Amino acid sequence: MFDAPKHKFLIKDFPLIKGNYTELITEDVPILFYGNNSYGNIILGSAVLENEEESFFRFIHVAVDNSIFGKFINQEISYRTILENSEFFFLVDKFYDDSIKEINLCTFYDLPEKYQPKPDSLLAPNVIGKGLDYEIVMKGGLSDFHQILPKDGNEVQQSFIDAIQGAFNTIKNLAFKPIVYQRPALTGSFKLNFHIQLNEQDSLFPIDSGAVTNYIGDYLSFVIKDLPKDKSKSLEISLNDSEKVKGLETQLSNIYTQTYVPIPVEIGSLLKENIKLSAERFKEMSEQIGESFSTIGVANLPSGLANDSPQLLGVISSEYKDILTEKLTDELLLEVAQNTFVEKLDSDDKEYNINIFHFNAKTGSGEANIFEGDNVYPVTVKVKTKQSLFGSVYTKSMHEQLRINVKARALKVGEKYKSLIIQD
Amino acid sequence: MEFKKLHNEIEPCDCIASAAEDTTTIFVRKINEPKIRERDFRSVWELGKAGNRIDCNAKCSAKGISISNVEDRNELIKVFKNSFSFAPGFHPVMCFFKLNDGAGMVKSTPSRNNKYHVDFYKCDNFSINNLTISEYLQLESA
Repeated sequence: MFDAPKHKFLIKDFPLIKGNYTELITEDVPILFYGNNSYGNIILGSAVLENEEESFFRFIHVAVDNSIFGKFINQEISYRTILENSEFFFLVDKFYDDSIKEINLCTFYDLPEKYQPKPDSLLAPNVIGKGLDYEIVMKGGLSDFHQILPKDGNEVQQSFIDAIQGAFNTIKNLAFKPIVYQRPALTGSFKLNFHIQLNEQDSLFPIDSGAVTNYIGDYLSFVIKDLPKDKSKSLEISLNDSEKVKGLETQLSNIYTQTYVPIPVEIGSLLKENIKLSAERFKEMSEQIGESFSTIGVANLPSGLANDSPQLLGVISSEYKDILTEKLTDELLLEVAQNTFVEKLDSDDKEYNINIFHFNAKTGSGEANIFEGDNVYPVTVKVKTKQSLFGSVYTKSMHEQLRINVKARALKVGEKYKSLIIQD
Repeated sequence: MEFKKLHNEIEPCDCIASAAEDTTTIFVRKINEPKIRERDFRSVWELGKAGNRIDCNAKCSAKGISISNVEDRNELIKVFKNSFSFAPGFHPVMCFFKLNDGAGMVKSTPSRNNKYHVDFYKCDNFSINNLTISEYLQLESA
């Protein structure tokens, strides 16, 4: 036990969490938690001690900005570093019944060493399975007033749905017909809620939907949180070097093996190509950062476990866009250097079996998967026609996840499909 | 074994419906000092921190004692070392024990940060004499 330094401060409820309360580590009391105070600031907190004689628990509450909070959630900085760099934080003493005993200002070096969070106070990777519900939490800018510009919201919404599609593409051969539903939006600062329904189809061997659920969560977590960490490398090198990508590939192979569905021949390439597509979509989300919001958090809502609350998979800031742009440029330069950047367009139309998963009916541009035997090749697609594309087979393919046969010319880079051009 | 105290104030919840006796597993409870006391086995509810819990799962959880099963010792220590890094002064001792006959019942209640989490429901006559302590481990040196 130690005596809290006695300081007075003016705004009594500033350190207290009034909304979006979330526990990250829980024992008998919350060990690590966060939420918003009445003024919209993010308050991060931890347990310090239990005073048995006077029957109270002591907690640290520290106000952090969106960027610091994002770095903490993305495991880039430790809790100790946050406290060391904070001019001050609060010691909140609460009686066992949760009523406030006392609040005092404190600095990191007022804390006796025994109570100072350790240098390795980084969030541990999640060990428990994920759920199929996701939250997009926008903070900063207009969102703090529970409103955003419709165009910004629409773009974030569509980009997120398309990013999830990347994960679905890698399990296309399994008996699922996954659909993403949007659920009512909630304030706080501004939230969009999504639910994925896997829609398992009849198959001889049951699919472990828990494994698929975890895989989708880990896939999204990698694209949001881990991929941008590796700032110096091209996207291709980042993906080839990553132990986490190897882990995702193992997860994916296990899902196929368990269901006795042949593993796609180029499962590694399939995974990496789709990760790139999802990263592009998250990059588009980060391009919306501005007037409406300054960060976009993506949280997963674990299901079926006791005492659970949303878990942030990662926070997308405007840096995401910059890092991805650099990575993609590096990749292009690498391809040129390796002399593999030779594009070739088919001279005649051929028939392709495709599923369009992202399509702009106004411009005729989108993205699709080509199916050839057990292989799936993600490509961009361009439909050239004078007719309206609203309500066309292309939008139907996207909305109903239908495979359609089209006649198109393929643009290839080396032997790799890059685009399909459909002249309708 | 009787569980009248457990269900007092939360009826008709039945906390022990899917719980079982377990006298073979080694469990851990995090405590303040390397010496177990009766107060270390007080539930959140007994401390007066029940809050506005609505459903029976939450009520039973507050009535139970948080312990963890030592299915994988190294992994469990890793879980507690992580929470220790944030709160090194909060319950820094792992107390390893087995439950004796008639101590109460346990139910697996994994949480996101601790998949080994178990709710222990004390029977009405429980005391720390119903435990066989095997080890105290200071997380600082673990």
